[in-house]
Amino acid sequence: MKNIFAVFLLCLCVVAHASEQKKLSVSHKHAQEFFQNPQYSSPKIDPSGRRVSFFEHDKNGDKKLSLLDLDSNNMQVVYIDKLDRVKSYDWIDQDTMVLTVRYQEHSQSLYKFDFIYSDGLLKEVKQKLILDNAYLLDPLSNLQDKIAIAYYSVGERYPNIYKIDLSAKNTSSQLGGKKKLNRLAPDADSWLFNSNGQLKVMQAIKEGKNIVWYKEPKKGRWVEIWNKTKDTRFKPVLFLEDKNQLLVLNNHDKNFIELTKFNLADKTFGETVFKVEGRDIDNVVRNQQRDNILYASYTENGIVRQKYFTDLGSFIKKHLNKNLNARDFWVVDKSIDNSTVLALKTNSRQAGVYYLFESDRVQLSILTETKPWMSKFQLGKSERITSTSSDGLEIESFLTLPANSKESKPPLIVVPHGGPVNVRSSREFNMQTQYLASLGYAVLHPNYRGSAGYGKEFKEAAKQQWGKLIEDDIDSATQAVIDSNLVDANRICIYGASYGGYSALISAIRRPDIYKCAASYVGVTDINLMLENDFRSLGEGNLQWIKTYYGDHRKQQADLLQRSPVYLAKQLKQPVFLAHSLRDDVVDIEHYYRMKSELAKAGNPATTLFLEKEEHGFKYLESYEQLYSSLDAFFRKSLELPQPTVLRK
Amino acid sequence: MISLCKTIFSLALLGAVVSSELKAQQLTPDATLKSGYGYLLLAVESLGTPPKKILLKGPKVFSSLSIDKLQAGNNYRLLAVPAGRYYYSQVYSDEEKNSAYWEILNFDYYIDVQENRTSYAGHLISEMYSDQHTDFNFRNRSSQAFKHIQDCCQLISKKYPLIFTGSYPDPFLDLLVESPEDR
Repeated sequence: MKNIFAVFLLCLCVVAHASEQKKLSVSHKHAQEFFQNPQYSSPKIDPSGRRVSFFEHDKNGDKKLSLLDLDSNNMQVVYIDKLDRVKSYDWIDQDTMVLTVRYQEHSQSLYKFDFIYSDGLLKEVKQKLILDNAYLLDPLSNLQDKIAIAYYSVGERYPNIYKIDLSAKNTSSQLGGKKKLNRLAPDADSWLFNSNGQLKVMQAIKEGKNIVWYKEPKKGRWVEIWNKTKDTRFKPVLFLEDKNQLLVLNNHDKNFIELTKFNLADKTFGETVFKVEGRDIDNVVRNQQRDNILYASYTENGIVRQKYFTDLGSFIKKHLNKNLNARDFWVVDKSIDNSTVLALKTNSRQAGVYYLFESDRVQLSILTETKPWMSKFQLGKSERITSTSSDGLEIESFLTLPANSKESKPPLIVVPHGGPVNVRSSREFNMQTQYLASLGYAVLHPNYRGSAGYGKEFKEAAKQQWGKLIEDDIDSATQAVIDSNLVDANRICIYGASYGGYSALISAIRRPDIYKCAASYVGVTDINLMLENDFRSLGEGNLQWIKTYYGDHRKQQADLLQRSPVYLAKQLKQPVFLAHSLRDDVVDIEHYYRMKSELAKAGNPATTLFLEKEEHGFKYLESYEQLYSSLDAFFRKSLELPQPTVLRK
Repeated sequence: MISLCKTIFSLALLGAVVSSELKAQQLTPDATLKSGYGYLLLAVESLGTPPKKILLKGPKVFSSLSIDKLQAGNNYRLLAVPAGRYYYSQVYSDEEKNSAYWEILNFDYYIDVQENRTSYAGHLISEMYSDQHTDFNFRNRSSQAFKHIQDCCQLISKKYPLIFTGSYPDPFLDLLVESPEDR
């Protein structure tokens, strides 16, 4: 009898589950399948190059820190993180790892894991709390058992910097005032160590200023070597001990960011070490020994490229380029002696495959795919397009066409990025773009003026151009796509988040002839409200920068009202989708309420979505699912498209 | 005799000070205001643990206010108060006397109450997740304030219209009350 009852209950559960599944739309089920955490993340190689560590994410949401022994191929879980608290980890030596664990938003702790091996097998993991309210600054690879940390005393906004001996029994005894590396130093938010583990340079971006200090070796004083507005890039990346120079990323007196030398004695710029014509250098990664640059990266045709500075470059050319396109690779981590290299191959249609190269075996092997489920879908191919804006400025954009675009012209979704300044779109793999492409949409990402990577003049051209030339740039990109005859010109919608949400609404108001619907997520709808309300807590220096780029609403209120969608809602005749997050502390939810209310008053009520747990952007997978499936439903209704079909292989 | 007078005077003064902190929920909005009075719409959004009590410093010595019985989410209080500037001053996390409180007077979160108007200047956003993670913000959510007044107190809002009296001009409430035909 009990068995019959159990079977009956089971049947009920199955029916209930099936009915729940049935309620979900095709696009929602597709979103659940599509938007998942990567199966493996944060892979790293231990300094000896014989073990690979990584996070493994299982379907229950558990995150496991695992070790793969490359000699025995034995894989062992060393820590199960059920609450997603481990934010990062670093190898200190081949037997020691330091983990940064976050318990609450503003509280994080450092833990040490010691691995005890026997006969090549991991026998024990000894865990030890190093310190609360601290994070790792530099593993100081050249010094045994030493790390550099940032430690926050109670109530202090800026951290104290210490060098900690991990082999010592007591950590707190190493935190005395005299041991503080930034003792008698100005408050800073980034720090640079030399190859001997000495703190040499500090940097602070505050009150709209970029300030850099250097510690004089003789007197031990901190000397200011740079103090200019944050618009001019000056980022120290390496200390050249023997020459008393710094390598800095900078665009002082020039349009594009270059890697140059900077003489500390007379505070002058020296020779340029690396530059790319017409492009900013985005980033520089140092080697573990902190005595050379590993690579500098820049973006070309929407793809991030690396220029290698050590013999790693020739190594990659020689070994990785044999059978694979080396341009799609970038080095994620390597052993100190370069004998083992972990590289990621990724492009617009490939989420990523990790490769491992072991030089002593001359062997290249696939380690793992980041998102293996992507292989089930037909993903879109992206291409670069250029257009000329209303004032003659050239705009670079990236168009992704769905796999079935040759059968019929697809509808187009124009997606301006957020920011608007110092952010950009690229042709790198993008889950959100590919989700739309897998449902048959073409997706256009315009890099309008102000976007990062195109030089200082391009950035400054965006000053006070909300609802003006920025949107002209976007329109020019859309027009170029229309002219190319690749999409259905009568089925175009515009969607974006944050500034992109603003842009979507204002573009639909400005050009109803192009955009048949508009969708905004966490978008700005009232510029005055943003300037006074959302930016209220910023300091005076930052407010000056904001006034320069966005406008001074005390002096230009009438003009800003004329560019704020809330005050123009009556002109918005197309269907509108509004979504916002309750926990958004960047663009307050009042923007959503105001727009919703004004659209309703104008007789054009918006389709709305409210994400209660979410912040400004995407913290939760469910948010992607809810937002993107709702967007698909909205686009289909607005553009009179047939029911969705997922493009599968 | 002199010492008795002193004692009586001290007690009277103490009583005045104690009673000067008006409890917001004890005030019942009335459709008719005394001369020199306006309505103050206080709005508090509580995230995490709700504060036990919030104090506001008024324009006069005995015009401080307190609000309590706050719940998670949005809390509104409509008070008839003398016109003038009211500052959020302290947020108590515990009901007990002498308990720890957060001093927010220097945050400059204030509302200018105007005579014969219903004045609103922002929502106080209280985020009290732990002692280490406590934050306060002041956000202009006048669309929500307007909706609340329309829902709860239409008579008062007709007689004493809602105005925004923050530290900057915000024309949104004027837009909100316009009918589409007016524009």
